[in-house]
Amino acid sequence: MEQQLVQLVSERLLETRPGFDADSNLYESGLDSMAIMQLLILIEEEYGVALPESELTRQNFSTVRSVAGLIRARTAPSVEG
Amino acid sequence: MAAGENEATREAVRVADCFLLAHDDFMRRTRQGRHVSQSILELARVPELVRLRPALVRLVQKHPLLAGRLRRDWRTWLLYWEVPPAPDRGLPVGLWRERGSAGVLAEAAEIENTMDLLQRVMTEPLDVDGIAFKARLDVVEMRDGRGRVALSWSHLLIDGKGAELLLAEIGRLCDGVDVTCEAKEPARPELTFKEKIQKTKAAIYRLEDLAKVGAPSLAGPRPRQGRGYYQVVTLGQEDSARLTARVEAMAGALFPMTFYVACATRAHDRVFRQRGREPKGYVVSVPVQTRKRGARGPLFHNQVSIFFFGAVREVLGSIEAATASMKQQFAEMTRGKLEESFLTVLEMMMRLPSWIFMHVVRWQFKGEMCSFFHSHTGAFAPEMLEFAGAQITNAYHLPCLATPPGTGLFFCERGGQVNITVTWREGCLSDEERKLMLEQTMEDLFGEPRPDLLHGF
Repeated sequence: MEQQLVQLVSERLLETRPGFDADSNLYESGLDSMAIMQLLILIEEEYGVALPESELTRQNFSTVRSVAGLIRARTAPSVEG
Repeated sequence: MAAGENEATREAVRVADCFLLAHDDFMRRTRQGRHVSQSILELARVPELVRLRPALVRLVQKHPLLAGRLRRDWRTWLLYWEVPPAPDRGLPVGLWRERGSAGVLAEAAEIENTMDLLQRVMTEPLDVDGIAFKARLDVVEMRDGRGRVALSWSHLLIDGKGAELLLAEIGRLCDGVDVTCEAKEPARPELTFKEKIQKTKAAIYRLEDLAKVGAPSLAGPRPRQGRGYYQVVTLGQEDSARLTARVEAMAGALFPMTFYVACATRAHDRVFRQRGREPKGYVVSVPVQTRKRGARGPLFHNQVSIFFFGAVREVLGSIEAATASMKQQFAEMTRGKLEESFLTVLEMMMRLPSWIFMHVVRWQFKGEMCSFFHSHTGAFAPEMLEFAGAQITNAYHLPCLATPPGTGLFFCERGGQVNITVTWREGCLSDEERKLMLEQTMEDLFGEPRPDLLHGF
């Protein structure tokens, strides 16, 4: 998922520099309010995940890896005892 | 056949350029000057002219569009840029020094007040020796030894983010770094007429809804001749950090823009109420960048669309309610791809003569364009640390606007400091009203009155 998200971000949202990867800082790459809102919508369209407001923190959107973690947590099948 | 080196070439305009031409033409026809804004760098010392001068020559060689002229192709009725061969001179530069300064800029003309000078420069033509420059640079040696650089730019060719990128490009050339600034622009989809009509619907419905609210401005709908004025308030590091924490608590860490647009609306509402008016609500137009974030370019053209925010009286009672409303609208407009829809509306109007274009723009709101202009442009050129050998200590924009609406409130950040720019046109805002607007702004920014920040205003 990280690779797919890196590609999505590079193609649709940010002009990323060579070497941009899942651990690169998204804010240093130019992420702003508009780009974040567009990323949220992309996540909804691509993964069917609507992230709740409580998870929309700077920390959670600092890297592709942290964003992927949010998506994974929402898409992982719940285990019931 | 390829154009020779001495022949002018053509470059296509971008969709939003047509709106800016109509706006510029409207200002010219109504004796308001031209649509020229300014971007300011505050420097720790005077920049090195031995690096700056050759950089400005190279800049024009590299980007002859800076001396381009807008033309209309009478076969297609579309505008285009006529790009001349690169002029044999650099971008115009003015040298100034404040009275009482040490005189590092020996050949500079003496001035009393830098802000007065910069505001006057913005009212003067950018053409030099018959060359239709679209920008100029002014360098000031301040009384205390610091430096200031002002890039004045025509909105016909350059937008706010483009001005930051252009300053960064000049800075690189001063450092001897000559790299390409080309960046892939978002491709406009090839649509049939029917598809375009379909795509405009979201923007049209949005504007129809907002028309029910109305877009009253402090100037009123009638154009008024006169010049623009600007005031900048820079918050210190401590206040800026406190403000950032408050913005994050209210708008969420990721959407500060919604807090600032709410703040600007309430500041204008305070002045309306002072005048004894309580309009149903307001409409605010906020530019939305279409450039890919993080790119070195494109430097030129208006790479923007517009989001129209509405604020009805019911949400203006508190900054919290106003911010929540703006946040909801921001989400809805992004989800509905309103920026794309609005660009399609503009695309369909591209062939209109400027005066008809402007008539259409103002028709929806009964002569008004919007209640006021606003933008929160975020960090100002964060990648730039120095300019021509001088450390950058602060940076901000002085955005120009027309009457109507006659006023604007703008925010940006540089190095952890928040800058607030108030723009007003002659006769649109009294000194008392401007003070009131800033008082309300500070009260919303900090949650309490801050007369200490307005001392001397």
